Amino acid sequence: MAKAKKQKTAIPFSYKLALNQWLLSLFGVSKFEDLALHLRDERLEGLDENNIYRFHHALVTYFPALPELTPAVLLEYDQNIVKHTGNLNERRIAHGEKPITWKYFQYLSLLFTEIYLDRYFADPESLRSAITSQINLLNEGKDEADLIQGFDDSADANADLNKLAFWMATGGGKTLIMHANILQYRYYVEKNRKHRELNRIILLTPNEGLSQQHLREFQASGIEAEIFNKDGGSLFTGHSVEIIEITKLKDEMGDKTVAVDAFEGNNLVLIDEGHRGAASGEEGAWMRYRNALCEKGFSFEYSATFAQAVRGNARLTSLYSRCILSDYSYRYFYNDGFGKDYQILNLDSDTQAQHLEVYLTACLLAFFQQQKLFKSNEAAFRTFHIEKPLWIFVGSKVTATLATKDASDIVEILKYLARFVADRAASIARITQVLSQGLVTATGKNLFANRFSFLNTSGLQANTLFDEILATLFNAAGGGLLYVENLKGAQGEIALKIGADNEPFGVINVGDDAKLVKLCAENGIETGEREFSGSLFHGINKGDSTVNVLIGSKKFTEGWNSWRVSTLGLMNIGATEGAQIIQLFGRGVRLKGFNQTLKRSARTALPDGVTRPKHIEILETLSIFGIHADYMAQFRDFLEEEGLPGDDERLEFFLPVIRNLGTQPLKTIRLKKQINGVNTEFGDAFRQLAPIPTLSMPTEYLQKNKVVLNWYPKIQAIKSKGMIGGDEDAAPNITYFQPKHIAFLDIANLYFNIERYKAERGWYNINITREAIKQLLSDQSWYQLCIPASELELGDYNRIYQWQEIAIALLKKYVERYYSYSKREWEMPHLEYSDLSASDPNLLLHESPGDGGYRIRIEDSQEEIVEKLNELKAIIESGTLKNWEFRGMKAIWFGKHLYQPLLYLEQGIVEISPVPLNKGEKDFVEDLKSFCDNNTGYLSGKEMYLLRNLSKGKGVGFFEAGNFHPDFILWLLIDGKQFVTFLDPKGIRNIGLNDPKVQFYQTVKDIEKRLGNTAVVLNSFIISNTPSHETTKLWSVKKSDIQARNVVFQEEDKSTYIKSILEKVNA
Amino acid sequence: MLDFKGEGADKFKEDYILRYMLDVESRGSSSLLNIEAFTDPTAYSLKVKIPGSDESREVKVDLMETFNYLLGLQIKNISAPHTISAEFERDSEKRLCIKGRIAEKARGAWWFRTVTGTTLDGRKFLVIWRKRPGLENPEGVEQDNLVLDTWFTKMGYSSKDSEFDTIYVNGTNNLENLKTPDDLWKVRLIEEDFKRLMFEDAGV
Repeated sequence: MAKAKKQKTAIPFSYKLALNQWLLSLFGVSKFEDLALHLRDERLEGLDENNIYRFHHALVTYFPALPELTPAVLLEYDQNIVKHTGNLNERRIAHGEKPITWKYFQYLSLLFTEIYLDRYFADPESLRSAITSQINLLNEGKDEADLIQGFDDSADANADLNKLAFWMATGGGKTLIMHANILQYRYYVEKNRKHRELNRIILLTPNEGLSQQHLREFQASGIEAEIFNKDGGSLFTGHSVEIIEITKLKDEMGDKTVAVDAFEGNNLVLIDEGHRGAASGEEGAWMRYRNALCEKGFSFEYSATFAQAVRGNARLTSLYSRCILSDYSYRYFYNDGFGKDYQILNLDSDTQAQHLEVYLTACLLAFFQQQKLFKSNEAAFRTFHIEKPLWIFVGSKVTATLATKDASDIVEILKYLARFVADRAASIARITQVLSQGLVTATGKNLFANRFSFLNTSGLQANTLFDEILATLFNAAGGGLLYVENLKGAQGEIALKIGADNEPFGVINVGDDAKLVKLCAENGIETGEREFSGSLFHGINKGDSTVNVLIGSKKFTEGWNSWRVSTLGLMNIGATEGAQIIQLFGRGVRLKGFNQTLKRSARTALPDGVTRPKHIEILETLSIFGIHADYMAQFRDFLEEEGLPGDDERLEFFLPVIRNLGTQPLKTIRLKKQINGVNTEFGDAFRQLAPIPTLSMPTEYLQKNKVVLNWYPKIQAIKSKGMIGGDEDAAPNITYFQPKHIAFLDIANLYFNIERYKAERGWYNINITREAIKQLLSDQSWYQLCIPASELELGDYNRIYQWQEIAIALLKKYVERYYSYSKREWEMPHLEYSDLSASDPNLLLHESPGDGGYRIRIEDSQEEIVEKLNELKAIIESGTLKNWEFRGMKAIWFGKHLYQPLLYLEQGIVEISPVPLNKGEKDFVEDLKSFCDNNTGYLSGKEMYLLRNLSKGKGVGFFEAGNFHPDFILWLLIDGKQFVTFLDPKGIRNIGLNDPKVQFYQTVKDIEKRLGNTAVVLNSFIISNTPSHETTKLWSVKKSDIQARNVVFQEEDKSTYIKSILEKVNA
Repeated sequence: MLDFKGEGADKFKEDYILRYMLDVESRGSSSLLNIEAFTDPTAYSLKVKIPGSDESREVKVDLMETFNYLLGLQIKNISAPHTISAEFERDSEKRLCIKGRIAEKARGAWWFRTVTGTTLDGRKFLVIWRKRPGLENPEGVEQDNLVLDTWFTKMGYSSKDSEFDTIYVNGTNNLENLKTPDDLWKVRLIEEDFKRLMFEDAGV
């Protein structure tokens, strides 16, 4: 069948998002990936002990000098998000539920909303012209068909700007984003004293099921909400969110419907899955109603499928280009490792028509392989939250009656299943054919190559497999005839059995069950009915369900959820239903994942001791096939539109490295692997063997290494932006709590906060007492508080809430120090020198198969990058070490590093594991290299080695220094003596002079003394890429004092700092 | 008590009188909820004003029953009180250990009582009430918690088939230290949720 050519614009919709582009431009980037690159690390999730999101620190580190988004402005937004999240979590924590922890893309969505709303309320005119310039920029040099229409500039700017849309993959948490958006909007409305103008908050949903679900989720977040009732509720309008189905809005009042005019135009309107109306054009009724409702108000719209919604409609394309604020559609979701992998079993029509039986048998085998694999190692897979596999057949028609096409597709499936079970000899022959030859498409590709790795290694013959399939998939070890049974007790359900007496293996869920059963009978399938029976469908998610196959057209798109779905058969898909199909796909690929990370196990950082069960990728892959080839062609089109690779040839590239381990064993420090038979990793030994500390007054060490809390940035964030400056140059005021402050502190609340902190950090072996908290607060020897004196004056009553917050921050830091100190004191005698082994994880042995190296993931099929990487691979293999640089990705050759090349990545064009060097790290390596090249005399008679030290769980870390994993280890071997130096290039804006990482230069000397090996000398340096004039101001100390603490300045002393480190090491 | 001089003092004084009295002043007093008194849950009492006079009298409050009510527990079992005695020693790492074994003795210093039950949404709870004779002294807290851990293990609560979703205990403790990777339960402080649930709906 010839593929119908549809009118296509040259540029995909995702490249036309003007508003989104404008926001990215504020960060000085042009692609979402360039922002994501610095935030994707899961360890950045959550708050630091000052109640600031770690994402904020990462943003400030990588984007320190944005003209419009200064660190202070970003912190202000961050603190708003912290406050709103706190509100959403309050009820969750009280009920012992898991509080919300934002993923990076969710945080960015909220941050974008802050930026937008702030400007929208402050100065809509200039916001509009900023977006307009972005549109003009995007339109430059584009064809007529791809031009984005600008705003209607004559109208009121507010009306142009009062609609925001969020493009977010199913599973991306758009409901929670919506909850936060409500609070964000309320905040800005109140801040700008417009709250009197806001009438109602209305949520529009596509159907009643979703309305109920939203009501429950609002409750979980502690947001007042109710299902709209046109006869009541007016008394409290504006207080609670009113949920109403879009279908109930009409022009005139009716029995079950309400006239749009009944609401005024100044509402906050939220729309879930608005695309369901959008496809019928802008003039479609729902969009008119929505516009009327928020005419003088505001609206937020959420959908996973905007690309489908605007398809072929220039007006809608322009409209959504102007109002999509954040784009985290499937391609991002998928590329970040969320959700299942998928394989599309797609044949050309001719081949499929000729080999339908073989094709369907292969699909059945693919599903059976999942079943058999799951059964073989159930316990292990459950750790990764994998459920019993389920095979579903769905169509996209959401109708109550039975569409003819659906019915004929269902009958076709049933007839196939019946033939498979009944004709043993033919089925065995086909199984043999699939496993040994696969199925070759018109282009000569074997569709099933490498698909059956588990079945093929099981060593079972086709006849054994057939018997197992009967027993496992069909619940009928002895075989028999297909029997279709209408369940009278469960409306719309039909049971599938082999023979009337076996357990049902499947269920059909359709609107018109009687009609379908009749149709089955006409097609020669044995039918019957059962008067009293429970619902098979509702039992699918229960542990004892015997159902392996679900056939149903409606359910999947209407809020039905199951983690079991592992194979998806498509029936009856038309060209106009892209949005539903993408949603359906979105639900199918959902994955709970290890530790509920929602990620595929290959993309999850697993703790040591946890290994991925063999072949797990088979269970983490959704197989998709269609009973007619054109369904699949359609489906691939939809996926491509979403920017998802439609082909299964996605790339994982392995790049080898050249190792040079030196001539003599290099020394590193480590804690003994075991103490009295207990592993020391993750602090196990300390928790199980050491005396249990109780939080107490500071020791001499803790008095010397004080907690320093700088509250100035927080104050600046609270103040309005115009007021910043003035006190910026003055030295910070250092002060302490006085009894008059302590009298106002809520000690019980402090105690609860510290207990929660202890639980969050997993420090179960420390006791916290209220008594200790009281004593610590009245002691000034362990901390310094930098805060304007005025903030501690009695004046505004609200200050006591700030004092409480400060006290919490101080105590958290102290508890951390105290715990680390206790741990270090106990572990110190168990430290030892060990020789760096050839199997050290720092040497990149684990990232890729064989000899190890880098693992590089490439988005889509970017042939150019692949070609370039192959070039680099050839350079490595030939050992020519030629310069290699491509679009901000760079290979760094440095022979003294224990392996080469090191990789540096400026933009997010690929994903590299382990993480590539950042700029500070790259600069350091290059500086060291150029020092070595220019000072060959210095190195004569000495040997030098460098090694990049990986983070948690792999590299050398020092818990006592705030779990410090210095980025590099440098060895100098001189006359049989080893000078081992830890080096860490970093920005030091956010850490203080007394930070354990800075103080580590002394700690490491204590360790050296303790270990008492005169042939080893230990040192540690921080290589600051923050200039000294900033640091001296922040810390109010002289540069020479900072340098005395082994901090060197990378940029201003570029030509000398390496030398000064080496001289200090070998003094 | 406090000095109200200086700038902004007037406004502050007004605020103070309106809000502090209710909010801060009653915080530690036993007319609202006194967290410190949770060290002996059997002896919790409230001062209640006698109507028509300025006097108040002590009224005993059953914390256990109140908490069951606040959680909305459908109770499965309330245990009889256990009284435990124990002796201590320190091992070579200076960690506190039980000398011999803990024993149920009528006059034992440690007292435990447990409630198990389910909430409407199906979550399973174990609530452990205990007296904490060690009060807030570091050594005392260490002993109390060691006895708790030992008793908890002895009762087999951590075994997999108990499968509680949440375990409540009063007072700082080290129970989660006993958790194995298979265990799913979380430990929460009775005091914190007691306070929260008590005032949550009152709009405080």
